[in-house]
Amino acid sequence: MDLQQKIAFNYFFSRQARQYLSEQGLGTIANSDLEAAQDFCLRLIRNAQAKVPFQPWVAQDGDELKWIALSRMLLSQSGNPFAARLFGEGLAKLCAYRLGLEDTQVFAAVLTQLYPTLKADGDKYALGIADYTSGQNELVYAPLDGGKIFIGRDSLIEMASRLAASRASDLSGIDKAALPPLITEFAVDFTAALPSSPALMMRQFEGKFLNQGCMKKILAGVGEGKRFYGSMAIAIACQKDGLSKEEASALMRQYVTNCQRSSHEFRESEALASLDWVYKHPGINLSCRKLLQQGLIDRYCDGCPQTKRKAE
Amino acid sequence: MIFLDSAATTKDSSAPEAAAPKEFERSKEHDFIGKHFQQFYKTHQVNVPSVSMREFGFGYEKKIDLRHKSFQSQKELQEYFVSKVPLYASYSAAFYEYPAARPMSAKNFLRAELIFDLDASPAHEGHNPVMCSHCQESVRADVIRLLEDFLFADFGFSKTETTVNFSGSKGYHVHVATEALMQLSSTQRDQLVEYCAGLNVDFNRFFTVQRHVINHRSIETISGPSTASAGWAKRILDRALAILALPEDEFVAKFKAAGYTKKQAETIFANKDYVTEQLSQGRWSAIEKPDLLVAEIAKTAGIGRNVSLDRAVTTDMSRLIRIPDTLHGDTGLVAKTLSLSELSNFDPTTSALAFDMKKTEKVIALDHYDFYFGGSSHVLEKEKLAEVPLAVAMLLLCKKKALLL
Repeated sequence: MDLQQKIAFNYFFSRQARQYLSEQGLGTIANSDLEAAQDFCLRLIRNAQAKVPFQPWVAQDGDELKWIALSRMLLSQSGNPFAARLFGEGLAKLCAYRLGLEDTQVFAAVLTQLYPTLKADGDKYALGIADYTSGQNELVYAPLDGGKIFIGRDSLIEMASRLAASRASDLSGIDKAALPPLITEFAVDFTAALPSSPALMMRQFEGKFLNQGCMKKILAGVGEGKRFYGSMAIAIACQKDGLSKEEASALMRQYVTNCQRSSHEFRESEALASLDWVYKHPGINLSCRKLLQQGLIDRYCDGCPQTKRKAE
Repeated sequence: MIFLDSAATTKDSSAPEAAAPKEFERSKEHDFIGKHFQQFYKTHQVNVPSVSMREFGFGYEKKIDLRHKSFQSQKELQEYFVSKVPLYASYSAAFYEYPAARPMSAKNFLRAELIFDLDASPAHEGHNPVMCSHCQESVRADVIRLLEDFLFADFGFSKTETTVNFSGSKGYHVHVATEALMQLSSTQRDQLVEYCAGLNVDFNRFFTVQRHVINHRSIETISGPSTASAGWAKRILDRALAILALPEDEFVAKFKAAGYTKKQAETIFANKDYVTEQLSQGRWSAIEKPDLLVAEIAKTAGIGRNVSLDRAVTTDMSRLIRIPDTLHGDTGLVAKTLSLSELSNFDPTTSALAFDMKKTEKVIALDHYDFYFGGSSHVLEKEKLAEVPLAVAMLLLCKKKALLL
């Protein structure tokens, strides 16, 4: 296996991987391919969730690239952003493990594809602002000097892995309508095998408002353009249900990760800023009308405490 | 009436052709302003880089009454200024393939200059409603700090690709046209503003607290920014060291303002050489309650504490911004492009004048005004006739604070 193949097989986001896939294609997709992809996807999800040490591997052929592509199609069809996020995190963990093993030459060859301005600088690496802010990195805490952010190899791997996770779980480019029928059929069982976040969260944070259908729907993640108002709605519901700010922050972080990953990222700090604001203004009420206007819900919930209050 | 923008001389014939209110149109003050604005544009070239790729907006009563306009050439733009005489002229920081197209998505965004917009916050005691030197000075000081401490020092922006212009009223605009930065997303631009403003920063993240047990005693050590730090961490240290270098009375006052007692402040002052050395090495346990000092530093370290740094102008790439070197309809001053050296002692009331200070005009002030402009003080009594320099008359008429005789 030469260097180019090694990069292609192990780093799904690399130019070499894209080239490999465009040359080889996915071929004829059989049920066995989808089963292998499902197995791969669930393994990554388990690894993302696992508290026990992660058991990584190094890819020796292009099968993994095929499974990644198929997993993403299946995840897109499943409509479960929570599972998509875990898949991205699992895959990113794997890439981070592999990057940790690489010598300087391969390390730089892979990472300059994510960060074109990357330069080795003594025992550190220097990154330009545009590259640094392209991921979920907060510039205000960065060691920034003269337009360069200087970071160590481990921090760089962590950063790259976050970006890789974001790219892997961004399914916005997949046209569900164009998926082959075999994938849509297989996705039914696949979806049932995926973990579901909102149910877990609701057991932990059961409240009058948070328990409403509208809130469950928002908590499960919303798309671009709705994420900010979604965070405001959750913050108000948390406040009304009497959650401590710490509990509400945990829920808000979960919401951010459930939200759709797209070209315009939605940062945790933006959601937590909504929470801060709402907790400083306890008089703010939840407006179902606003939720409807913003497209966060499509109908009023049955037994809504808001509606009841108005009726009384 | 030269002000009405009715002729379809631009590519965009579908844009609303807003007319100024009739009452205002008819006023001789408006005609007077228009006549002088027109004269200015007949003799002053407005230069807009990449003119054919920008969207333009113009205003007569409001800052922008009509937008989605585009021009193929400088000449066409200049003709527009001379024939339509807008009181306010803006262009997009963004470059588009089809700048006149509507809706916004049809324009096909290509890239956008990075803009920072600083404006004065008039909410201070003794604000002068005609021309406030306090506002002008505070915003100018913050622009210099924005440029030197943040854009050049921290961000490493190129001085040759960064331009500054006076807004023509109370603020300044910084334009950065570096190719790599012109591709930044709105979220990335937001990060830059957030960095400069230093808002929502959790300063605890620059510090680590460790507890050690030595001889059965629990000792807490605080590590924080050192001379090896960069970015905001370095800024906190630099500010702390600057405070430690103050003379005793200022030193004590600063620490008291931060929440220390007089005795605590005096103790720190007595040990300030040791504290300075320790802090430089990142050993913040050398100072009592370092969080109080950091909180005090945080109050003024960012841009926009005393002036307004308009976040939306930087992040919203569909916004229009005043065209440099055009006239501002609220003041009759030029939104003058400044070199970095000019900025250091720029006084808009003498250096951004578009109109004569020797010719005079008779006006009736609507109230009592006392202000400095054009190098001298001007006192006008309410509803009394006064003969003032043309530039002063234009300022008062644009601000609707005087009438012509």
